[in-house]
Order: sequence, then C-alpha cells, then structure tokens
Amino acid sequence: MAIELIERIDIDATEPSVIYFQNIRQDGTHLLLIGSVRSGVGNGNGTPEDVIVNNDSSSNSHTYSSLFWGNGNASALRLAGQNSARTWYNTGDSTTAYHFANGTLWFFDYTVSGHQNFIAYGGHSWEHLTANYHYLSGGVYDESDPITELRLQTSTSHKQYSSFSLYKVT
Amino acid sequence: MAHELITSYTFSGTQNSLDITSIPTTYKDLQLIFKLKSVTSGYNLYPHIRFNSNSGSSNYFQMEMRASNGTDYYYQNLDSQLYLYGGETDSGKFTSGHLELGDYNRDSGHSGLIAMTNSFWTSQSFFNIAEAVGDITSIQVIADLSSTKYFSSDSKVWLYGIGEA
Repeated sequence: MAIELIERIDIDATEPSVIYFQNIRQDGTHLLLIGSVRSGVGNGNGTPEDVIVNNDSSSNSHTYSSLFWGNGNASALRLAGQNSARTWYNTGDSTTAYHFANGTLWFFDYTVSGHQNFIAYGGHSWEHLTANYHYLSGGVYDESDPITELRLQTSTSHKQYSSFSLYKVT
Repeated sequence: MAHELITSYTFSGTQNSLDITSIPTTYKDLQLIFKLKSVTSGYNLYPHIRFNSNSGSSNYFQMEMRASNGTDYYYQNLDSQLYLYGGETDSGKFTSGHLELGDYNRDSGHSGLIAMTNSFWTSQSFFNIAEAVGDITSIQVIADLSSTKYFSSDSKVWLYGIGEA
C-alpha cells in the first residue's frame, strides 16, 4: 500500500485555533493533507484555513493562485479558501451549522532539500457559489528544507467535527 | 484499493524527453506525479506530455484556467500534445503537479484524462483535460519540442497504478 495515514486530527470541543502536524516522518515520498473544515455558528463566522510550512510565516514564504484574487506571495498556503468555512451565504443562520469546506494539499518530494515548489489545491463552497472564488493552488516560496511541520490555523478557531488527515505516499 | 508505485525516474540533466513504456494493464487508473525544471537559467520550461507517441494535431484537448497578475484567464484548444505549463524553472523553481489517467486500459479505446499542474514562479494554476487516444501503453514527457532544452538532473517523475482492472 503506497498511501499510509501518518496522523489524523479530529477537532473536539476544545476547538483550538492552531493545530500542528509535527516531527513529520521522513520515510515517504509525497505528503497529502486532506481537510474537512466545519463552519462556525452563525452567519459570517467562517475563516480561511491556512497552512504554514516549517514555521515560516514571513510574508513572502508561500504563494497562492486564485481565479478571483489573482496570484502572488502570502504568509501561508490555503487549504480552504477565503471564507471557506462560512455558513451559508446570507441565510443569517444562527443555529448550529454543519457546513464543511474541503481542501487537499500535495507536497511532492517533501524530504528533499533545496527545492522550493510544492503544489497545493484548496477549495470552498459556502459563501460564493462561483468557481472564481476557489483557490486553485499555491506553493512554498523560499523554504528549501524538508517538510517537518505543518501548522494549521484560522483567525478564530477550528470548529468541533472538523477533521484533518495527513498521509504519506511512497 | 491498490495505489502502487510502478516506476520512478530521475533525469540525467542531458535529456530532452522520457518515454515510459511497458505500462502494466493490471490497474484501473494511472497517476503521474512530476517535478520538472530546465537546466537553462531563466528559461520558461513548458513540458509536454503525449500518449502512445501520438502527435496528431487535434488529438489532445485542453482547458486552462489561471490567474495571472490578478486577472483570470481561460483558454481551450485542440493540440498535438498536453502542455504542462511550467513557468520559470531555473534556480530550484520546479513546475510540479499530478496527472490522473482514468480508465487508461479500457478496451473501447477512450479515456478521459485530467491534468492539474502548478507553475511555481507565477503561482499560476492550470487544469488541463485531454481527450484521449485509446488505451495508454506509453507516456512521453518532453522538455521542449525543439530538442534544445533539457530537464535538470533533479527533475523526477513517478508513475502509480491505482485500483484493479
């Protein structure tokens, strides 16, 4: 089996704002991160799900590409896009919401030093139902070390029932 | 469900192309993962992929969506190869991505193919779709049709088999 789960993080009632995949094992070839991000409660409580590689959050350490936002440098990759975890747009939903945004990130050849490009795909669904809000990809701009840590964060908190799985592909 | 490495390949630094042959027929789908860059500084590498050495002028269909300097861009075309748009690939800047070849060994001779690639330097994204050319028995990865550009020695390709035929 060439795909193997390294670690899964299920968000519980503590709803942390930051979670980590640390000391990532180096016996794979590629990494695949799959996230299911639950929205907040009430309209407008969603935030982007960002991923920072190797604790490098300088402003030009990552890149992004979006058909709406264009492309450029950023301080993090985006696992799920702008307002991705938001509740249904304009519904004013004030009850518990179970809307999810899903995203995947690939990190190719992640144990190798000296290369600077990783591919990332993110998507979202809840605020704007138009394709041009989707984040299509991103990269890692100036990180040349093997990937040993992924930090996942939002500006608020990870909602209970969100789930993140990190796989290695060999 | 199987997801197995069929073969991996590291370029020598003096190669313009790679021909992956002897692809087993025992899988349902194929996945090609690549990280490619040119040996030529500043050169924007635009790798090509062909299947079964088919270079017919209208045998590949691709759709492209990307953001460029804040402007969305759409494009579709019939062509003689599938482009993996590379962007600037010198100085460690690879173009990388993955290509899924669904039902590659279907007897009826049709496969739907999708490629998703990423250009690092400009952070542009490309979704390419190729209407295919029959069962896939070989895959060609080509640096440049002019044969004057070469893949760097740390460029790599991996081919995986997924599922069972």
